[in-house]
Amino acid sequence: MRLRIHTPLEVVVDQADVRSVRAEDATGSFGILGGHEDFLTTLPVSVVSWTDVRGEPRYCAVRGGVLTVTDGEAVAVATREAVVGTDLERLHRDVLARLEAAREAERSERFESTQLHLAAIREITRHLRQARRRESP
Amino acid sequence: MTRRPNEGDPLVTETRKRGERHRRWREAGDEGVARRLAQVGVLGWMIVAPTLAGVFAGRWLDRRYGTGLTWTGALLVLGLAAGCWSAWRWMHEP
Repeated sequence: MRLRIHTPLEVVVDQADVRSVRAEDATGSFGILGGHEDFLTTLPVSVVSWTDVRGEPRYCAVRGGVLTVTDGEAVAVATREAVVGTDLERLHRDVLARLEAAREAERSERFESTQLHLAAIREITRHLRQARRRESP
Repeated sequence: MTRRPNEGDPLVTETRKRGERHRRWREAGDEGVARRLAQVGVLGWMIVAPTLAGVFAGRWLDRRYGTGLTWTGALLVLGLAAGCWSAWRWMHEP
């Protein structure tokens, strides 16, 4: 089966050799194997897990989303935010690190834009002062 | 460690919860079918045994004091209540 997990900004997972997928919705946990009937459900904030043909488990924390199965061989998850990991017991640390990084990036962006703003004002006042000096000899 | 601002984010808490479950499963493993059956069997006996004990004690007391069925009935109900209570407690043990 082919599994795709994507957020509005990027394709987080696009894997073709997936053997089984596990996820959960409001009714509980469920599994999907190849040849599944077409299926559509909404996911809460939870973890989607899957194994490839070698039996390697992989995990992805999703912030809600929609899961669809089409033609029994394509599973797609559309979500707001996704963090992938290979160890479920450490995944929450990856999530935490990711949120922290996003916060940090936002803070530095805000700082830079403030700096830019201040520099522009300073430049304008400098020009105005020079113009005034030229007008009154 | 100080509490970080993102610690309470649902994405973090939900992921941690599943990680905890996974760890418990890895450490304790699946519970066997036999163990489950034994659990269910014991539950039955925990209710039946005190009830039967109550009936026998009641019969003995009734025969001794010649009171018909009073003691039997009373002790049967008492035994049943005790059995249900202990079964309930046992069920809710972690």
